[in-house]
Amino acid sequence: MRRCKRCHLPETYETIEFDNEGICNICKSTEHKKVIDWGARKELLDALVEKYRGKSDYDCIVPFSGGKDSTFQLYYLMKEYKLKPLVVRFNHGFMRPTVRENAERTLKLLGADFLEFTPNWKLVKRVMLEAFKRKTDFCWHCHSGIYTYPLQVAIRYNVPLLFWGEPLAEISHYYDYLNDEIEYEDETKFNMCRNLGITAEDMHGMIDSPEDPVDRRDFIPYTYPALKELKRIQYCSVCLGSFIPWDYTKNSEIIMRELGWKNDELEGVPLEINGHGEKIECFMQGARDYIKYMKRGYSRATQITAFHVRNGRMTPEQALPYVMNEGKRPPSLDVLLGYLGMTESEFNTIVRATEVSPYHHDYGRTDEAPRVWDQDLWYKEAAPDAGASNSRVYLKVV
Amino acid sequence: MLKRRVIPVLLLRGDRVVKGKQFTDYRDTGNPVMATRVYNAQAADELLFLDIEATVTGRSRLTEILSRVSEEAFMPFAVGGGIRTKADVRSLIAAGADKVVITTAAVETPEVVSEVAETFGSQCVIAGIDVRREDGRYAVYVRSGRVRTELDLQEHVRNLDRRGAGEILINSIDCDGMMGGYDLDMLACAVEATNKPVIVCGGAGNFRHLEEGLRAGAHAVACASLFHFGDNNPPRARAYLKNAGFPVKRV
Ligand SMILES: [Zn+2]
Ligand SMILES: [Zn+2]
Repeated sequence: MRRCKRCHLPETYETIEFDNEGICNICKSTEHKKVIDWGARKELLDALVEKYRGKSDYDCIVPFSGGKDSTFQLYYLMKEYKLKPLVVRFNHGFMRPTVRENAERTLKLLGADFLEFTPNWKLVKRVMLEAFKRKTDFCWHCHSGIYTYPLQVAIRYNVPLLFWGEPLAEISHYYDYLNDEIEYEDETKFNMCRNLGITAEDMHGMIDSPEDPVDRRDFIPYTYPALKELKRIQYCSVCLGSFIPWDYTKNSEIIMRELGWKNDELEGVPLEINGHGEKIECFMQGARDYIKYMKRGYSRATQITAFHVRNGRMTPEQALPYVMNEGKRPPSLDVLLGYLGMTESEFNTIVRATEVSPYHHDYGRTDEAPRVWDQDLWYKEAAPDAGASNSRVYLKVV
Repeated sequence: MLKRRVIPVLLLRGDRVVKGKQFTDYRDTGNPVMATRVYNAQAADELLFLDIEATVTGRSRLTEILSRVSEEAFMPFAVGGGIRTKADVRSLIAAGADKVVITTAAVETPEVVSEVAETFGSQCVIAGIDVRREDGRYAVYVRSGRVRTELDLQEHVRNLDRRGAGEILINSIDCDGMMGGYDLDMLACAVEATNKPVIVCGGAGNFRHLEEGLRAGAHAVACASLFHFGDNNPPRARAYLKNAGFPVKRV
């Protein structure tokens, strides 16, 4: 596979393009980040905050998982601006113990009101299966709910200002820093790259059937609010990282020092390259990253070292061994198979059909990633044993 | 060089969009208005709506759906399915369509192609051809693949070209929904017979298939299953094709 000469991201990375020197567009975009007039951006943020301060029951809404980015968001807004936020969490069902503790400590130390919403698990399982069969991405409910639910809260509480964290320009080329624009978390962005191209209206029709009807109302938490509702509250939904230079390594150091935020193991990723807590909030992360590896030949270790290389914390040579040594089967896959109700060979059949050329996965590989410490604490459902039934209805997919 | 286009195809059946295999075995893939909103957000080059029940069951609520779709679609969009007369075309254009796809009528009453091209311009006429491979030759089918004609494929392409079609949409029924790649021989056959842009459809299952279609002479590659049943979207497809050396739209 062709890879970026600098950060090693391969050609199967979504929206990647290479220049004549073989450097990728994401590397190029982060270079530009250095020459943005961040002072002017900060003044924009000051003005934005003052425009909304004190106008409703809360100054803003902070969508919050308890992970490093949202914790920093909350910390920054409360310390820098003394804002009174309503903190909102969409619980996808895969919260790890350390992130729960981190969240509780953060909220207590900062002193903020917190709303948590956990959607119907039976529906979650059905949409996980459907999204996995169609898109080999079982996280439609996270991708959608995380972005839609806080907006619904914004409408209900009449709080127009929402702060998200990391800008997409950091990780993909759907947006970049080059156009000097503020990244809005709006419906266009949601449909472009958040929801797998499947809206709640679409998903409802996909799984609703006379034999097994689904109440339309079950999809309300995943539905992007109507524009006229959002306009009525004059919503403003932005990424904090558009206004201050987003450096997650530094951000993590700040929350560790100021809030006692704790890092955790990340399945499939050596701890020494993830000292700053990327993706530790979701216990399905290892399985997600594994699917990506099976399809595209890279996964989380490559993405993390690419970050470090771009930010000058690693050389391309130091990153290479991690890039070459990932893709091991994570023990969390067994937990996922339990939720999906399928065997590993059924799972492999579905993933194999969406392999991204020119990567070709070796299905004979048997190396396993180490089990993370908290796996025994996760909610589990029994998976069917291999070979029991290979002709399930849901295999009538691709 | 002309920009190469990737065109998502939406098959309308009643109020929903569906996708099947070989013109049958349809599965729900969403709501037409929301699907348009998504493709709009993803800056698709164009959209192609085909009302698969129109020819078989008569006019449906197509124009009503289209006027809601056109509120969402900022990219050009083409509509096909059951178009018989210039008046049909006029009502679709009034509902917001930029182009029309004429398939069955292009065989049964080919003068409609000329009339529409004269009235609305060639750029708004896409002549559709549904093809099955039979005993080493290509047979042209009409009425959603239900009725076989005796037409010679290349002769039919030349005829549609002469009548003023602006583009030719060639669709393989055998490959439809199978995701195993386009029928490149069929495509080459059509490309050989005309200088008009040819849109190839039926069979794309990954980005390499799109690349193969363009290398085989297609000006645009149409696909449905690729986006419905896979971890793919138009921006990713464009990035892939750009890396493969094709000029594509910058967003
Ligand atoms: Zn790079
Ligand atoms: Zn998830």
